[in-house]
Amino acid sequence: MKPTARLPWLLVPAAITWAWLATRQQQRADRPWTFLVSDVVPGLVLIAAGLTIWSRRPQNRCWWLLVAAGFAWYVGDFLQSTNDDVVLGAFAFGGWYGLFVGWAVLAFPNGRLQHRHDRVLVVTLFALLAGRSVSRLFLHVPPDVAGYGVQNRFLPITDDRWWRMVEGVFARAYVAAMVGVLMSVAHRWIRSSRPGRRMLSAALFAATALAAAVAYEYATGWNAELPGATGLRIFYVVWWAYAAMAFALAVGLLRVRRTRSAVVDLVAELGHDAPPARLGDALARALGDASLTLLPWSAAAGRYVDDRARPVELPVDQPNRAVTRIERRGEPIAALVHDIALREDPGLINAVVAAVRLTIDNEQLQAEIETQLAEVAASRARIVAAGDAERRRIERDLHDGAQQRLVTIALALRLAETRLDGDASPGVRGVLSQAVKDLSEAIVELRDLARGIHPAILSESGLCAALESLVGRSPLPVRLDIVLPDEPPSAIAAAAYFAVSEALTNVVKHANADDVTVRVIANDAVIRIEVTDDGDGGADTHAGSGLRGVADRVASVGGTLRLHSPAASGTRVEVELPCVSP
Amino acid sequence: MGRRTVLIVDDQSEFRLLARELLETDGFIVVGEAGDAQAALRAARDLRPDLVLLDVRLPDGSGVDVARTMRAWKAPPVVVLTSTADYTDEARHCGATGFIPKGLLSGPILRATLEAP
Repeated sequence: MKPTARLPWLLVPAAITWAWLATRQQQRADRPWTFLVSDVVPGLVLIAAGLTIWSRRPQNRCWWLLVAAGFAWYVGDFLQSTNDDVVLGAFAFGGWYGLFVGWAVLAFPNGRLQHRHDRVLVVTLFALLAGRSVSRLFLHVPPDVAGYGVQNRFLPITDDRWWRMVEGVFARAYVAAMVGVLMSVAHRWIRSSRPGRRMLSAALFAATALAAAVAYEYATGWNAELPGATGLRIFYVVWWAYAAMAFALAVGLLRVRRTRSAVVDLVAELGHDAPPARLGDALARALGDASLTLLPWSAAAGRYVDDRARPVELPVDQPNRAVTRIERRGEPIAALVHDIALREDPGLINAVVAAVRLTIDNEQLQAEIETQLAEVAASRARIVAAGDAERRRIERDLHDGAQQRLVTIALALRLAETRLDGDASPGVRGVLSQAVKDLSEAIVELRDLARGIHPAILSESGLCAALESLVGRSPLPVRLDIVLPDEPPSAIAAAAYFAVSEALTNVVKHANADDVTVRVIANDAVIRIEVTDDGDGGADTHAGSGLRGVADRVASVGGTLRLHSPAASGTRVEVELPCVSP
Repeated sequence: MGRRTVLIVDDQSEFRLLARELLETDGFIVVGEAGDAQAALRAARDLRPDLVLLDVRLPDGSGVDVARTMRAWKAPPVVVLTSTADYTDEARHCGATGFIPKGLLSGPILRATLEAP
């Protein structure tokens, strides 16, 4: 905050001093303490209300209008001064607070006069008060006027008819103007929906109090000599009505600020996962405008759409409806269709726009990330599937090509061996036998290699047979429990097979286990695999590429792999796989 | 026991040829050959061999399924599967008498498989 921005606080000691001086004047008239309190407090309340508004919304013109009204409030007290010129000044310029108060009520809540008739009312009030001041300065005032002893030194006209006529016209016109203020606010209140009414309620109350106060004052004659206590009570009602009105205006503006805070809090609470429909509903509740609608912009359709993605037209020239377009770098994001009363607080609309922009930005970013993640997941699944297909092709090629050729050669050698003459040298027989043996070992190695690339039995006989075969080949005794009602898709079956295969390989290589169990339980939705052993434990998915690769393969089909392997407490590998392909 | 009649089922003609010669050299009578599952079923029904030497992987299906079908017949032939050791469990489940890795096929080994408990 700039240092000069704090200057209005200097008005506090000034106001206290000014009120103290005014009270000193009234004390000369030997007023009762109830009078003094009722006289001094409303002025201070006006100033305090103005400074409160300034502290929260310094741009709002209402603050200085109320402060000006507060200072003007005490001018009339100087009628009790001993200085004739001061008395004349107080007589001429007392009552100007009415202009400032009326102006503040009409300008509530944003500090600007919205309608032409409001501006006419303010100008009328100004003209009336100016006319009365001129009249009181320059026309003769009868000496019986409240006994103040006003000495008009400018135009000592003995005929007081002109003065009385001006005062009479002023009194009626002033009451009419104040009723006009009341009607203007009431008109706005009636035409507004809930948020507008909530905002204007304070102003309406203030205008009613003001009109009532003025009516009291002028219906009884501005200087009527009512019998003692009755006259004083009327004054008290009028003065405290002004104090209540100032209080109501300050509270009304603070309530607007609370609404703005509520909007920001609401959006923060909603977070980044709020869909437009939910955000719109939440804003409607926070702003108290049930008619508020948030319409996102559809880039595909090139139009605003509703919560069902149907294109909608923005309302044009509808009474009490307003459209606030929300854009980012000139590109539309969304449109808010709301009660026009919300526009009376631009700060509130700005807060809403900023909040909606932020929320929708976040939502779009979230959607983009989710889309990209889905694309990455699909891409990974496709890569794994393509890899599996390639492995199957290689295995098939090995089986149908090299493996068959080796088998055929082995049979040919064996046939040659059986057809050798009895005269064949033992050396030739030995070479042939060794060749057949080596060839058989080569065939076994080639089959193992092919199986490692892709187990043919998995494709041809299914997961259950493949796991039984896998367990059967294990050098360790392995218990196998399988509940597999239906054969899963090939990608899921491959992930399950390789998970068990890798887990068993690790058990054989590292676990020093005696007891190994493989459990595969499937239902309609998920396949749960558990490979447990009673070995050394201490396995880590990050220690080698085996389990890491299995975890990646499992994740590629939307599954999860968990490893529990505390040291010296065995190992449990848990895999969950969906029963449908990603 | 007289000489057993054999039906050889494999999609590789070279394998069938060599297997025929090997087995006939070792005293078996090869009554027919088939290159796929459908032909194998037809030949087994028509030729009524004593045993069928059946490859697990056939172009039009699984040798395990063929063995299972033959097993359901009124007079099922003895079926021996040939392929990798992956299929031993399957061989047991489908009712085959035994399992011989292709590269080790010979008359004595086939005879030993048939006589194994």
